[in-house]
Amino acid sequence: MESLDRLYERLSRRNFDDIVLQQVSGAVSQVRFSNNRVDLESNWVEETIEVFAARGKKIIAYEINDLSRLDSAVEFLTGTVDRMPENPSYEGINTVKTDQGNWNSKARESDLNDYALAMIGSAVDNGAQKCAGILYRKTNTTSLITPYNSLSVTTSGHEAVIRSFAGESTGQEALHFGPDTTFSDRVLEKMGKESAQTASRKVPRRVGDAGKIDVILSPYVIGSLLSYSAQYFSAESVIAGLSFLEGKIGKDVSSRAVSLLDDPTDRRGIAFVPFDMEGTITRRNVLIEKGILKTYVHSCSTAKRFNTHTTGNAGILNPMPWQLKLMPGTGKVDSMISESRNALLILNTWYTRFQDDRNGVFSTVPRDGIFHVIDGEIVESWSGVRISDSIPNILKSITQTSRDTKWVKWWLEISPSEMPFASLENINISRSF
Amino acid sequence: MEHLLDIIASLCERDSKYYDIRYMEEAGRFVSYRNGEFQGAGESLERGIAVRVVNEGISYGFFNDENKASEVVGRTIDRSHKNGKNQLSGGTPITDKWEVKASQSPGDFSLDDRIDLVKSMDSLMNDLNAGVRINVLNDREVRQLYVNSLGSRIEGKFPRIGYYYVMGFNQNGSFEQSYNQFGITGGYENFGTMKIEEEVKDDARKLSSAATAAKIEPGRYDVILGPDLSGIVAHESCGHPTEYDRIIGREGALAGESFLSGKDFPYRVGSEDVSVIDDPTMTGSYGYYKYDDEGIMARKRYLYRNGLTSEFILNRESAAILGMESNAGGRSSSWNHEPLARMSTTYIEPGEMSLDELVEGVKLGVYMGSYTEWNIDDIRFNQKYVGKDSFMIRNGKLAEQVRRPILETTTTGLYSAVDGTSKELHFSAGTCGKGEPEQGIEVWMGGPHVRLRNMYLS
Repeated sequence: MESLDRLYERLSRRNFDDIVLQQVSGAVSQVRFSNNRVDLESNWVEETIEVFAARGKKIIAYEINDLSRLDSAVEFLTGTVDRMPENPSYEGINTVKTDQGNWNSKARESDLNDYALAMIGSAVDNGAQKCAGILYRKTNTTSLITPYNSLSVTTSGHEAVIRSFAGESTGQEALHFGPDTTFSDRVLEKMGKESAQTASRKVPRRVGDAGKIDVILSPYVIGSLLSYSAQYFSAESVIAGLSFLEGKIGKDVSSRAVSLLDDPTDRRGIAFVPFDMEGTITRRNVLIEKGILKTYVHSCSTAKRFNTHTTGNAGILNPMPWQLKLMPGTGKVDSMISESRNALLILNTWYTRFQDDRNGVFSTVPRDGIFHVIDGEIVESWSGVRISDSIPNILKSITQTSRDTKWVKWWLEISPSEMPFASLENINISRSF
Repeated sequence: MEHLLDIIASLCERDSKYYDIRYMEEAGRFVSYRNGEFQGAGESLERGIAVRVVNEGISYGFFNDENKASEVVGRTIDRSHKNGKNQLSGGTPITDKWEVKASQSPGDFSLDDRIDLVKSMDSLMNDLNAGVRINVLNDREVRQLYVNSLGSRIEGKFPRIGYYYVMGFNQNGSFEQSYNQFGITGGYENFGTMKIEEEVKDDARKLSSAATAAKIEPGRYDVILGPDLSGIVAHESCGHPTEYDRIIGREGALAGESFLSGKDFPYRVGSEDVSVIDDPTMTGSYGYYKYDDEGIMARKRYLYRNGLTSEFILNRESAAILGMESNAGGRSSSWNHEPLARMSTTYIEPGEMSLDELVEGVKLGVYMGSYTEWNIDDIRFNQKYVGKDSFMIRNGKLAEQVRRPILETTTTGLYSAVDGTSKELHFSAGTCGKGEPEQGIEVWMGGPHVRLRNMYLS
């Protein structure tokens, strides 16, 4: 924070209209394991300062982690900004004074290696032949200075992933734990057990069929699809012409079973964040309410273009959702399965790619449990299939969501979010030949 | 900060079976335009140290504040005494300096020139009636110093330049889009070798006409893949499954394992007409390096040779499992990531035929010049490619354009169907993702035109 104050003081004498300084100092520990043994323990102690400066509509960015060379940042920003073309989209940052809140938390010190061994043991005891996974403990202090605000927060949390293998079958669990969620042996053992039970489920396995079929998507699958769709809710994507949600505010974009929020204020998730990069206090935003698109996510600049107010999601030029929540319904997962006549229960997916962003046309590759349900019973496991459909159709085909949710996060595929199971009608499945 | 290396080495020397230390400093820059509007420009300056210690287990520490050195190194040594896997391959100590020289290094290329370059590309796309236009130029200059307990001391320095664009066309309610990435290791004097302007013009012409082209009738066709497609095939279904850390399960909870896990080698994956190479020594390539990030001298590797598996991509950790020395596949995207077994420039080896000869041998087929959507399963076996720049082939001649033909097949199905490759070789750039924390590294992917017989397309 001392470096940040010093840098701000120096920049404030250089006639910028806006200055945003954000320093992130992190202490992170990680344990990785595979084949039931620990591969590696890692620890990171890092700090980085991001600088954004504007003179009128001329803007410039700088990022530095060598705090002994802050002079170079000042000289670069001062010497460069006037040579920039104007950015017509830039409309300034939040000018409202914000009170510093009592947001801090600290992760309990614990031995991640012991946790990893507990998780592995549970998976093996429940039928896994081998398992692989990752545990994280993260503590980050974010300090922000603008001409209008000076804010700081220390947040902490954990992440855990385990994938169990039994023959060709796999099962995976991947959760995040924010500052207000307990991270314990018991939770990790449950994850190990559930991943192993999925992997070791005794049903025949075959290459699946192409065609339209009802699907029940786990929190991981619906979480992954909505994570990849998060960009479409950004006003910047709409401006760029790369969102299927363009022109849809106030209109139906999904079935009435869908209410989607962005909630960075929920401390149960690791994406809890109290203020954005413009110093705006974050808030719970309703993106879709019973099928109707209520808002895009905005920074001050995009909000002005849409004649609305910031939603507290800056990135100054590219606002993004923080922590999505698909609202739970009343369905019980067991009933969603038992009431299906012919459906696929899909427990995880990866490698979602789009061929057409304006229409949300994509495919994704299910993994870690693809089960064919006939007359309410899981009768076989499928391989070699993908969901090949469009996000607009996915959203419109959701018939119900479960009442139970999971706080899911996994690698590049699932951003921190809270998701239920979801039942969908008539989704297109393709396969390899 | 690099002066700390010898101090850290002496600390590790007292309490380790093996250690290595990397210091890296990097200066980066970017400029971006979107739909005629300047979006922004910026620079970054970072440095940091990674220290790895092996005792009863393996432990890594990463820090960028020299005041934290003692704390992080102490913890790293301490945690290396926890039981875990603890084998790394050794090798001969190396002392060397290497540098990719540039007559116009990124630091010498002015901001005004960068802005003009990106703006001109946006204007060109606008002239070609592209409704969606995103152009981003980025570069970085890297200097790295590597030492290890075997006695190696290697200093490397290189510049890299990258560029990508997104371009989209609305035609009568249909939309066609393209994402295209370019990259070189070298200075701006070589920027023209990426031929971005020519690619934009060609891409725009084909995209605008594709929006109104007909879909194909699903069924069996002979297929000719263009170099962009043969490159992504080489990367996804040869390069990734031959990364030995995947084969042995190290990436199991992330990108997955490999269809080669548990197989006896050499394993037949395809016809004798197909070989795939990974070569980090290709001068100017986006993935070029002389030494990998674990201090091993780079060399060319045949991954598939005449349809059989050949070498695997090894870093020190995975090589130790095989009881071999690393073949210099250990790459890390920055100072704060561990080196994993990674690709560099991966390509299908060219053959002797011309494109015309490949086309002449097809009665009914589809030419898929490039691709939009693609993906592959986590054992790198079931894969999908959606064609861009695609045309029917009728009676040995290219015929009408078709829209987004879909090839959904298996690795062995695809490589077994190869019956001819052309003699030219073309590369495209990519950013390959792997690891946790995720690290995207620069690669080239490439190949010739490749003919496949009797494939199912929809």
